[in-house]
Amino acid sequence: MSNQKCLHALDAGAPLAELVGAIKRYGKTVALAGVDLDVRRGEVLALLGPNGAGKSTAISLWLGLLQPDEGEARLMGRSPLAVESRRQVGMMMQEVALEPLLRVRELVDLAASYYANPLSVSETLALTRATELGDQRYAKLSAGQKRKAQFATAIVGRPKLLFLDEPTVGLDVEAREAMWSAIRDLVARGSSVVLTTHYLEEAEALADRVVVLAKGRVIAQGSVDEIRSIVSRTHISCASALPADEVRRWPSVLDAGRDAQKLSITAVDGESVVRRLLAADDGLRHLEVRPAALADAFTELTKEAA
Amino acid sequence: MTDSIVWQLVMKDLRVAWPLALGALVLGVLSLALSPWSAAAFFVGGSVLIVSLVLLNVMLVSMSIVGERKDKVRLFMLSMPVSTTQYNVSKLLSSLIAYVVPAALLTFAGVGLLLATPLPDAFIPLFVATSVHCFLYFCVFLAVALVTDSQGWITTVIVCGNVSISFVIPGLINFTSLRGTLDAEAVVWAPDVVAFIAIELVLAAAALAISFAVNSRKTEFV
Repeated sequence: MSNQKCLHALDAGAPLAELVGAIKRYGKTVALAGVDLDVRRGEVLALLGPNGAGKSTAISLWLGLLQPDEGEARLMGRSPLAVESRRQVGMMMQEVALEPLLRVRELVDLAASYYANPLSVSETLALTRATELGDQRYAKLSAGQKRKAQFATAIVGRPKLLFLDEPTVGLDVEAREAMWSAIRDLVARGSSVVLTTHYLEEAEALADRVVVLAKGRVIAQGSVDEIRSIVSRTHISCASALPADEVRRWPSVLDAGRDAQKLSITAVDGESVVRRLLAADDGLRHLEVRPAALADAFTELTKEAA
Repeated sequence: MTDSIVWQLVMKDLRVAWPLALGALVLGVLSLALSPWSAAAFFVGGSVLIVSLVLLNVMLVSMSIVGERKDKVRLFMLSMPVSTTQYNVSKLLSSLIAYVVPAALLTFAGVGLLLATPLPDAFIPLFVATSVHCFLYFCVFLAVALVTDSQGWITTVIVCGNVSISFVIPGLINFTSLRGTLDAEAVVWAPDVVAFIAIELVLAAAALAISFAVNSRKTEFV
């Protein structure tokens, strides 16, 4: 199969990966209950959901590791079982391992051999800041180092679409930031990314679009701001002598609590609460106002779906 | 690229398997070197040689097929641009190479030893037939390991394979034309012994072919 045919199959504007009415069951358990989902060119799509929501099943369908019981999975416009489709894809899954007895350099070199136009091994190791791991056997690496090695094998083929399943689990803060930076570099070079993560700040930092799955269904999707706006709430904190019990009774206040000098308030209408706080306490200091985070929206959405 | 990917996968497996193959070869050579010294040494040497082949078989397949699936290395491989056919072909080829090369070398060396020493040459058909039976055991184990995820089946094949050797050797000695001829100097390839070898080779090929056909139909790997 030529690359030309492949490009023909995936005309401009077509999604890189699609699930169309995908249903997948494991015995009596429904992992995906009729999911329609696509991955567009140049985007970072964050797939969020609690454990068992169907995120890994969706990725396994896209990679051809599972087949839908009903509906369809398409990768690069064709069946994920077609090797040509997967030749344009990189993958870093949480629950897979690389050959433990091989060195990282050998593993990246081997992965490169599956692709038509791969990066060089040294360039890949440099991009993923794994150069110092090159001569180490995979079995001897720490959990975080293994993630780096897996990331290197995922990007060595210059993928158009990169699946990253919990990519920063086990990484320290510095390594996590480095991986985020590498992901942004890849997107800038034209790759699309499907990211599943339990670190919602990771989705906030990287994603153009968020899809929230729960119990095998898509329960919300949109940009990070759109998802955040689903939950209209504001977090307010300040140093104040006002009693938390009194503040809790104010209109639009959802919750209020005190930690030493600090009063923490969650409110629907943050502005009116701030005005009232300033009016009620002349000595109020250290006022901080924070809009709802993606985590708030996620918690609210998944609670509703449960 | 297809051939190149299969070759890359075979080389990857061989890079991991060669210490095992070399270890079995060394153990086998030592057992052969021991054999000519006395009747007891011949018995011990022959037993250790069979043990080396069985160990190579079980450890090779356990590491390369069962372990790779258990550790989810297979899942990683199949999510790469590697087809199931390429993966299955490479597993068959690499396992066959890693087993057959040392096993064939040891078999040829054993035949050479029997011809070159005062040990009775009539042992050659028995020795070759036993070696072929070990090969059948390897092929069946490889085939089952490629097809099933069930540890129960894997264990059953190992137990049956090991026990079968204990039956095949006395069976060949007592119920074929080899009976009462093993102390002769002439090598006699009796039709029943040749038929036994041929049937075992056909069964080995059939086991691999069936496992390949079953595996080619699989579409779920998680």
